[in-house]
Amino acid sequence: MCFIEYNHGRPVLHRVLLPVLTLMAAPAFSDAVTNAAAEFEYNDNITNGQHSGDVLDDTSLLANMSGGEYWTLTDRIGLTATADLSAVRQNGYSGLDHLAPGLSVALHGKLGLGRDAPWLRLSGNGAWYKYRSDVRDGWHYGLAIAAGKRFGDRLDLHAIYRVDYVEPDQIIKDPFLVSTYHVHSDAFRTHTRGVTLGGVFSATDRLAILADWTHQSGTVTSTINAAGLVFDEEDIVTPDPAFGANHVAYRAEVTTDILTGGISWALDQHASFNAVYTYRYSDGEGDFSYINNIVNLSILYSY
Amino acid sequence: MRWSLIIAGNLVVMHSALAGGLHVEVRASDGKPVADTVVVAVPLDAGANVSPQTQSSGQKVVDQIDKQFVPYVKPVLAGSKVYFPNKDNIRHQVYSFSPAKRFELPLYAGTPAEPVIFDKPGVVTLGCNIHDWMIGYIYVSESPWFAITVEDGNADIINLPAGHYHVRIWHPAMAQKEEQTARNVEIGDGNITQKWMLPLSSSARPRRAPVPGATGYH
Repeated sequence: MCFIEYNHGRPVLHRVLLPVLTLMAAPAFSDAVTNAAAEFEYNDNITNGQHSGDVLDDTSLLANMSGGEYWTLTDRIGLTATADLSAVRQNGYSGLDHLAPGLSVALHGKLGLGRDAPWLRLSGNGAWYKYRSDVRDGWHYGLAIAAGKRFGDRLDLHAIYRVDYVEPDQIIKDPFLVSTYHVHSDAFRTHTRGVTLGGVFSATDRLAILADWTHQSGTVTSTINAAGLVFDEEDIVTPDPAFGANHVAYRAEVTTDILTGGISWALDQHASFNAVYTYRYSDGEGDFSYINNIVNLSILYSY
Repeated sequence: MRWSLIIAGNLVVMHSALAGGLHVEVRASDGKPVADTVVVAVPLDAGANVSPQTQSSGQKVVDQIDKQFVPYVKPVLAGSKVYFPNKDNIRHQVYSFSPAKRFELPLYAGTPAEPVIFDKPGVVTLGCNIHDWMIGYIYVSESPWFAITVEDGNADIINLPAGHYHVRIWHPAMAQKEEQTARNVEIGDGNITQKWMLPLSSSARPRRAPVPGATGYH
């Protein structure tokens, strides 16, 4: 028998949605914002596993859509609010398939006049992730402050500080798991904070080269094949059927360095084809560490 | 003697009344036609610099449509008044830092009541402080004889008074200096064609297409 408590995220949605709807009804000068993406991704370690027996790779198809409004509040400040929907279809591990409706809000500020003027951007987003494997369902929140500056016609640099929270809907308290394996809590409740430094270099009118480095710390979820394992009382582990009956997810404190590099080819003024490679190295307490190599191909549309 | 003076005078009048045309073809290094190239013919003969009616210094317009300046390049005669109507639903903030004309139109919708007067020859680069990808150019010509190439890379300056001209071309992405394109051309009673091969730089317009992970101002 499994006892499940549900976290109630609706008040949070209400707090976000109400101001957005109020703004959308205001008689300000605004413009519609539409973004869409179709992506193919390969991740060589979707379990965030350390040992070869736990490392599983997979490909996935992703689709993202968002629509909303952009308001020019003053000559230096703008506000964007969008409703977002993303969908992911995993090729091998269908338990990770998910839909994620959400909202995003961003306040943009420019510290001067002209293309080269420094800018600031404060943004927040929240989305509810509904997985085929219910145990992963939950709310994802993110807050970010970004600053940047363009240097001439070609180089655009930025720095971002970002915090992310994942709040699962279910907290599993299974007496059998607790007494037998000390499985007693929610491994999918995570939080991270990180700093990103990066930039975009316009090689030509159409070709842009992008590079980012992120240093991140916080908690991550790693999944292992737990057959025969007994966990300590203080471990935070949750059955993770997305990868099979014997798999459990656990939460670990790590620091992660992320290197991202890619190219973006402008198809026209509103669309681009992109190829991005990401290397992630996560290092936790003891000898725990793992690596992700991720290749993402995407077509982005923005209007 | 009296008759011969009269005849000579009439010949001078007839010569100055002759008009020809200058046909210009601009191609890039790869042979493709180059649109938006301004062609300027500066008269070298005294008295030839008379404003033709078609190139008057009257009202000119640079629109903002779909968050772009339209046209991308607008040649005007020095002294022209240019209006900047905003035909988008969003407000724009048009500015220029160019030495030929520094100005700023505070955030606005519709058409500002007052035009901007461009009285100093040179290139004026336009931007919008809300939409960084918006870029446009106003070429302020000291000569009334100018034209701009269209999609086929061709342009025509018509009814050009006969005489000698200093002809040069300018394009936003040209890799060389404008004066390096100059050549002296003699216009008579008829059309002549001048061709330019114009090397272009690889990047000239700020990118509007999306970039993964970009968190820019807008």
